[in-house]
Amino acid sequence: MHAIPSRRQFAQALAVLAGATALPIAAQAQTPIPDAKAYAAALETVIRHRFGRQLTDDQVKRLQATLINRRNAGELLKQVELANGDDPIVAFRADLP
Amino acid sequence: MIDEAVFYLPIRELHARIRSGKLSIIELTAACLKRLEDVGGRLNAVVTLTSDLAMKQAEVATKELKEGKDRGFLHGIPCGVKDLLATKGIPTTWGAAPYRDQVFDFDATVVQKLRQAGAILCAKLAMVELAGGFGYNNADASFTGPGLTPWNRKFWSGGSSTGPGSAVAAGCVPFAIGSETSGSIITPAAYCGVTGLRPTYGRVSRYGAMALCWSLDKLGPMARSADCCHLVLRAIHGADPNDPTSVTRDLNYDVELPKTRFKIGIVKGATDGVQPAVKKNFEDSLKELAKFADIADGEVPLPDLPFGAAIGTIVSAEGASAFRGLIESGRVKGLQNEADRTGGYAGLMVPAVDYLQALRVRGRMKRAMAETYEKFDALIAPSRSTVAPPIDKDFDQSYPGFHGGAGTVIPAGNAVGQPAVSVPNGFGENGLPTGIQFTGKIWSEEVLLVLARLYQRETVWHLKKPLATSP
Repeated sequence: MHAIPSRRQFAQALAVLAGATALPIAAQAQTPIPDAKAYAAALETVIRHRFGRQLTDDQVKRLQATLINRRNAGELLKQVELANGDDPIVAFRADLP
Repeated sequence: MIDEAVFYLPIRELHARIRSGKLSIIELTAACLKRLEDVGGRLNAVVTLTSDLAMKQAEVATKELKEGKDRGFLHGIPCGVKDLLATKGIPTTWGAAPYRDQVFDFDATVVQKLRQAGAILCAKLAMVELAGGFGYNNADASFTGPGLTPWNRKFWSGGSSTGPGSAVAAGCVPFAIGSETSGSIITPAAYCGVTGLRPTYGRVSRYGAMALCWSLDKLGPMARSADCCHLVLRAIHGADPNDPTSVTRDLNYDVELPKTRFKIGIVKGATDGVQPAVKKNFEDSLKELAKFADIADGEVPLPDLPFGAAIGTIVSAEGASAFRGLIESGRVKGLQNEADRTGGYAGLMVPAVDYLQALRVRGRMKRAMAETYEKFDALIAPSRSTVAPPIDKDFDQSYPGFHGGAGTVIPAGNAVGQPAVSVPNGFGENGLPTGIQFTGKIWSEEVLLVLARLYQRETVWHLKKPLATSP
């Protein structure tokens, strides 16, 4: 297992990750996914910060790969044009069952 | 002594024999319990035998019949339920070692409804741990061992409803209840050569069922035939105040077959990238279907929308939320499958906007799929692109090059809550069964079941008995 990353390393990693989702939707659709290597490194830092005590190095790598797949899925979903009024499909009812 | 052939009789025939006094409920129940222990044990199909409960229920059912009280077609019929349904005082393990001692003090609504219908609960059946939500990548994904198909025990039963698939296929119970978030009924139905129905989301109450994804989870029957599935669905469907997403909708399935011909379409690319036997069996099925249905010229493309990405994002996020305590406590390392030990962490890191995007895209998907299905009674495709994978290989290494075909059909149908029925349609490599799936508009279960029943009237695949049930 690796040591928990420093606060500075973690902040740098968050900046990379946030950059991937903070752009306006229209701009994001045309912007390539941030540098894959930087993204993977950022993920590893965050993973170790949040779960490093529980995971082996192999598990961190596996998780890193899964998260990159998740990120790709997020990009695919983002390509679908939605109107402002396209509500999420959730069921909320104020009354008790 | 129960004759071997009785284990493979459909529910209507069992009911007729019970009602006429030719078959004893108590003897049938005892025989099913024995078969679950012996044959089911060899298939890793059983988590808990509910022998005491079953024999008591069998005695009550027998007494009621003698007193003239007949609860219907399920009266006295043995069954099993996937071990994600809560059963009062009986362990409910969710297939996962960290929950192996979990006991609830109530019955799931489906368990209650089966009891009210007179069915005899014989076993809690095996499943992939936590219904497979954490990304398992091979068959070794349950603390009860890999589920094995009774057609060849070197191969997987399919998941996540492993036990319901193999127990029904091996004649251990006439029917079982499985669950599907995305493929968990259709897949084991195909790999085990049984009939499986994934109902429309909301048709069957989820109360008391393990929540993996509350916006995707569905419970449905796995049985010998489409007709059997209908009889079970009729007993378990309907609105439940404990599940606000459940509703009551008519089930107009008629024993008399319709006089008009059905209109069927073939999903575009259904046989691209599938094993040769899967393709041949599907094409042979078309000849049978043409006897009672008009099959549209040209294939029907499903909407070009990211169904797989939506399902993956939702399963990951909702699953991680449902099991956050398990993951963050580190107890998740007690899961059997290596991929499952890390998959949950990924779910904890799904951005909220990605999850919401997936839920918003589902609205688009619903409208687009409804439009696609508007002109058809059903769209069809092979249930899976291959036969069951071997238990000693990771899934992605099992059949390289055969990942196409119906790949989109299962996530598309689940994303929009559509029903589907998988029925066996032949055999492929290593004597393993293949399946064809009928998918339809929401609330069209009765149409799909009639179609499947007509197909089964023309074919014998659902009557075949597996050979790998002996020691």
